[in-house]
Amino acid sequence: MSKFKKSGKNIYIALFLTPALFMFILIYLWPLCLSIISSFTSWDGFTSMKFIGLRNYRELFNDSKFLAALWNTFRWALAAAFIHVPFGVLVALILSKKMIGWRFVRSAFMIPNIISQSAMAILFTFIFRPDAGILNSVLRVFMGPDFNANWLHDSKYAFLALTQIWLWFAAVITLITLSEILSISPELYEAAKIDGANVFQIDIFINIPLLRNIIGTGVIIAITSVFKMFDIIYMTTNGGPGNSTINLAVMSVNAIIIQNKFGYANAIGIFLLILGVLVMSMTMRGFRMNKSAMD
Amino acid sequence: MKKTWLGIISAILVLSLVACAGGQNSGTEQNAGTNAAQGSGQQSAAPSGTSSGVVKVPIMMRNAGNDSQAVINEFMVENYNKLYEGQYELEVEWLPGVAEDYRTKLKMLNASNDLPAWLYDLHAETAFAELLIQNNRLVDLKPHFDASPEWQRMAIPESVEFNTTADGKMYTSPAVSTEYVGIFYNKEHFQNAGIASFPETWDDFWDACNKLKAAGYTPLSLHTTETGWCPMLLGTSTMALSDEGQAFMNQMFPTDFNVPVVINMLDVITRLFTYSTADAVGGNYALAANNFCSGNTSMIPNGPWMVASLSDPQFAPEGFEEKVGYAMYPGKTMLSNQGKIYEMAVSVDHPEEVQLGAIELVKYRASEEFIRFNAVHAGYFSTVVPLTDEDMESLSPVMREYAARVLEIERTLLRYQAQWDPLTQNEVISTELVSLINGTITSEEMATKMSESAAKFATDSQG
Repeated sequence: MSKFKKSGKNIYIALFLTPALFMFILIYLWPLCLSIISSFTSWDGFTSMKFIGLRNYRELFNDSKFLAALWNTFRWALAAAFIHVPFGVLVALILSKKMIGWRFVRSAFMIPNIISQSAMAILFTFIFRPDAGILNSVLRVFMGPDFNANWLHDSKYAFLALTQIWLWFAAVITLITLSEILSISPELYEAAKIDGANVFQIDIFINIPLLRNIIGTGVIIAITSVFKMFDIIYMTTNGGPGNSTINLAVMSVNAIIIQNKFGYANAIGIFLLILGVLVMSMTMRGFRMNKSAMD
Repeated sequence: MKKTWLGIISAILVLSLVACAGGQNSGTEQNAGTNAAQGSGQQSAAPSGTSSGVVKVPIMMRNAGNDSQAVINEFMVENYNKLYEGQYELEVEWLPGVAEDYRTKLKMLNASNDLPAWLYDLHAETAFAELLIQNNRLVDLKPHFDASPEWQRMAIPESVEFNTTADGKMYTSPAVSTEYVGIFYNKEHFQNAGIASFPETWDDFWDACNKLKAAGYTPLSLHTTETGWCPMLLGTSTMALSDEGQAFMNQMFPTDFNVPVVINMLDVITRLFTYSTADAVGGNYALAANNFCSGNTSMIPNGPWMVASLSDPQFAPEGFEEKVGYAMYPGKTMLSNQGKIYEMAVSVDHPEEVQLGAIELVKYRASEEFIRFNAVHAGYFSTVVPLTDEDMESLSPVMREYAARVLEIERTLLRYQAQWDPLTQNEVISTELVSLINGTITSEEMATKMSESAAKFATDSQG
C-alpha cells in the first residue's frame, strides 16, 4: 500500500516537473548544446556550420584582444570579490544596527540597482564628460580651471572610471546579507553581551562567521555579474581605448556584429561558462558553503 | 451541486479549447488553399502577406538622426503606397536609431533568415553586402532591370557595371544619383575671425583654424566612435591630392595601411583633434553634430543629407541655417563613390509576390519623382534628371551652395566606409583612434594595427 502511495506521489512529482523540465530543455539546454556544438565550427550565420575542431579555441588563445579581455575580467572579478561584496556586507552590518532612518537608507541604497544598466551607463557618460561633466566641474574647483580629464576615453583612467559605474552599487549583496543577519538568533547576541562583547566584536566573532554561506553566495553573484557585464561597457567605451576596457561578453557580441563569426563568438561564450563554473566551485569550496555556518 | 458546477466549468473549458482548435484548423486550410493556388501558378485572391488582395511589403527604416532620412523615407512610403494602392502596401518598422543601428539589426535578422523584404544603406557595409550576394540571400534584379527601359535610363552606367556580378546577375541595384561629401562651416564665426572665404589649401586651412581659435571659437566638430566618420572624412580627403593616395583609396579592402599616405592622413587627424571640443575624444556623431548645430564649433565634415537638420528646431535654433555655408575640402576635393557602391537589394526571405512589391520599391526609387525629391532634400544629384528652375528655387540656401560647389570640384575620392574592411573600421578605428589622439600610440603603430586587422579579415574571409 505504501509502495503504491509512493509511486503515485512520484507520478505527481514527475507530472508537475514536466512543464518546467520542458521549458528548461527548450530555453536553456538546447541553445547551450547548440552553442557548444557551434563553438567547434566555422559559422558565419549565412552558410551551414563547418566542423573545424579546436581551431576557434586555438585562435582565441592567440588573440591579443582575448588575453586583454581575460585580464580585465580577472581584475574586475577581484574588485567584485574584495571591494563590491565587502562593501555590501559592511552596509548590511551597519543597517542591522537599526539606527534612525535605516529603512530609508536601505531603500535609497537600492535605487541605483533598479535602474537599468544601460541607463546607468548613459548617466555616467554625462558624469564623466570631459567638458561639462559633473566630476570635472567639481575637480576644477580644487585643481584649477584648466583641469581636464577624459575619464572614459583616456587609457590612464578608463578602466577605473568604468569600474566605478558598478563597484559601489551592492544593494543585492546588502539585502541578502541583511536578511541573513536578521535571522540570527538574538540569544547569541545576548550571550555575547553577557560575556562583555562590544558591537564590533559581535560583528567580527558572531555575525561574519555566521554569514559565511551568504557572503559566498554574494561573491558568486558578484563575480558572475562581472563575467556577464555588457551594457555598461558597450554603451560607454565599447572596450576602448584600445583594449583597456574590453571583456569577454563585449568581445563575443562584436565577433558577431562586426565579423559575422558566430562559431568564434560561441567559443568565447563556452569559455566564459567554464570560467563561471570554475569560479563557482572554487568559491563554494573556499567558503565551505556545503557545510552549515555552525560547523 | 458542486459536481454540477464543476461539470459546467469543464464543459466551458473543453468547448473553448475545441473552438480555438477549430479556428486554427480553418486558418491552416485557408493557407493550404493559398499555397495550392500559388503552386499551380494561379493568382490567389488573398495570398500570404496580403489582406484583401493587397500585398504587404515588410520593410525596416530609420527615422532618427541629424539627417534627411526621416523626410526622404516618409515621402517614399507615402508616395509608394499611393502609387500602388490596392496592389502593394509598405509595412514599415521605424527604427529609432542611427545608420549603424539599422545595419546591426540587419545582421541579426539575417542570422535567422528574417531579413526585411527591401534593404538599403548597404554602402557602409560592403563586406556584409558581398556575403549576402555570395550566399544567395538576395533576389536577382537583372531580369526586372532589363525589362524596364526607364530604370536603365536613370541608372549610372558605372554603377550598373559595379552592381553586375561576373555571371551577369544583379543582386544589388545600381545607383541613379550620387552625392558629394564636403564640409559645413559657420559663416558668422569665419567672418568674426576675419576669414574671408573657406580655405582652398591645407596651409590656409590650418591658418583658418588658428584664427578661429584666437577669436574664441572651437574650429571643428569631431568624434571618435562609429568608425570616426567626421574626422575620417576630412583626414582621408588629404589622399585625394596625390596619385598614391588615389590609388590607395581605389583598392577594395586594402591590406597594407603602412604606407606614407595613410600615415600622413593619421598625422592630419591627430592635428585636427587639437582644434576640436574636449568631448570629441570618445564622443559620437550625434554629439559632434549637436556641437555644430548649437554654434559651439565652426565646422563639421559631413554630406548634404545633414542640410535638413539645420532648419529642424529639434536640432538647431531658429535661423541657424542662414549662418551655414558648404565648402569643398582643401584642394577643391569632395568625397564621392559615384555609384560604385552597393545600395539597395531585395531579400529572398519572403514570398514571390512580396519580393515583387519590394522590386517595385527599388524601381520607384529610380523614378523621376523620387530622384528629384532626393536631390532637393538630400543632395543626391542625377545627370539624367537635372534640377529645374523650380527645383533650384525650392533648394535651401545651404543646398544651393552645395550644388554650386559640386560644379567646382577638381578632385573626387572614394569614401573609406565603402572601401575598407569592417574589422579595421569597427575594431581598430573605433577603439584605437582615441589612443592615437591621446598620444598612447603613434600614427605608424596605428597603421600597423590597421594592417593587422585587415590581414585578419582577409584570412577570415577565405575561411
